[in-house]
Amino acid sequence: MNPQADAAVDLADILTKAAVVAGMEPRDIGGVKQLSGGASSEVWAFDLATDDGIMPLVLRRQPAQQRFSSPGPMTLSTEAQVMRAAKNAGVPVPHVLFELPEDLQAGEGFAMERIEGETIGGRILKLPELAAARGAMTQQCGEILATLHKADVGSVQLDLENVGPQEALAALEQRYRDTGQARPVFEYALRWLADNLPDDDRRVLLHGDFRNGNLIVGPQGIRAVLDWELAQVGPPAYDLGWLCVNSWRFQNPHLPVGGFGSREELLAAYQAEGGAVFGLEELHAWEVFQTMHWGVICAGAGKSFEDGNRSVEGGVIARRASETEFDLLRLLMPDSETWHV
Amino acid sequence: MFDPPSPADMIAQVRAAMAKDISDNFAQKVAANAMSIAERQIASADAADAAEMQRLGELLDGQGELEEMNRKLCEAIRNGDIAMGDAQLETHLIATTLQKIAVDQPGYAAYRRYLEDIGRA
Repeated sequence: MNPQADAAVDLADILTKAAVVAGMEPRDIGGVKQLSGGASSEVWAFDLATDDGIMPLVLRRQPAQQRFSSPGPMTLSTEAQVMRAAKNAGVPVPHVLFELPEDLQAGEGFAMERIEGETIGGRILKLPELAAARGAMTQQCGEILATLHKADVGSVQLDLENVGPQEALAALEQRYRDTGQARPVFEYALRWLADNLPDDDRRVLLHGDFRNGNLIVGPQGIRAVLDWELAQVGPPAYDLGWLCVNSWRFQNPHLPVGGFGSREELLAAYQAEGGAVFGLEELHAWEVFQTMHWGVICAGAGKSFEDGNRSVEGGVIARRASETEFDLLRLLMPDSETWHV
Repeated sequence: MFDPPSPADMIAQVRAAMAKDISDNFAQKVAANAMSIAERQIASADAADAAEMQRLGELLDGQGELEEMNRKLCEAIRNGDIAMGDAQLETHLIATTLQKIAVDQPGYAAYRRYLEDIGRA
């Protein structure tokens, strides 16, 4: 009795059926291997053989039993649709081949092409074979985000969250207050944002988590953008600000864009590709917003721990809130003499 | 004032994880990190909290428990009772945050670079 082997056989059967439903002619499914299994979703690699050859694929799945246990920001079905829409708009996204049909009772999920490359942020910044990639990635980030942001939001026809700057700020504040924690640095940042976060009527399709860590990178640069589950509609600077958050620069804090480039180059590439026009000041305000946003996520992990959802990893993530407090103060009071005391 | 979980809770959680199974390399590294945080906080919290309490007393012109004083400071910032750009507030926020990150994540790249820049790495 080998539970893992049994699971793989069962899954191969499910995948074969799902491929058939999608109009494919699968000859064989092999190499079924679980890559990761979080509390609410699983990731599997597998190879699908057709008469045209072997396709290396990835399955993202939420098992049927878990369906009602954690709502999450987005269903896998919606995520697959977002990926298709982004790909249709010209963004490098893994091609989605099929979804798991409901009547297979195998949970919710989708299969996409498996793209080789590096995804770990710190490795992208230091592998010698990616030196040329690092030189190209800032430009590529600007082009990719502009391409995404030019997608016709109306035609995407998805029930995505649609939030403007002031609503986003109110939601951020509420999320902080929901932790119940007294954080003077966050209070200061909220006041600064109330005074400085610009209004913006523009609403674009946002990735929502576009950063070094969610990109597949090869020697020529970005091959694909991953993890679309936070996609939403909102002001364009939301995505660019998040990309510049210090936490995603890994060992290169002096290079604002992902640890590989400058804000100026990012904005120039973004606007050259037809992205929304805005300047460094607006980008700065969103960088402040998004730094606090990551901080509130970490603080939330602390609240969750205190509420009884305990894990070592959760406790350590909770203690990352202070990195964002450090970054916020560097952004908001860079010239204070206290830095030199 | 340091963030949750407390050192006692961190240590208890690592102990509970070890009692089950912590043979995975990644899990070991995370546990070691958690223990380091607890270790550094145990070593420095008394002095850090005392310094913070001193600064809060001067800022808010009053006394109280550390958490209560922090709530009062939050209210004062939120209400505009303290001006943005107030030098004493800035000094307090920076000093408190530097003590926090020294415990939570002394290896954070931007913090290490900052220490190098001021010649204290």
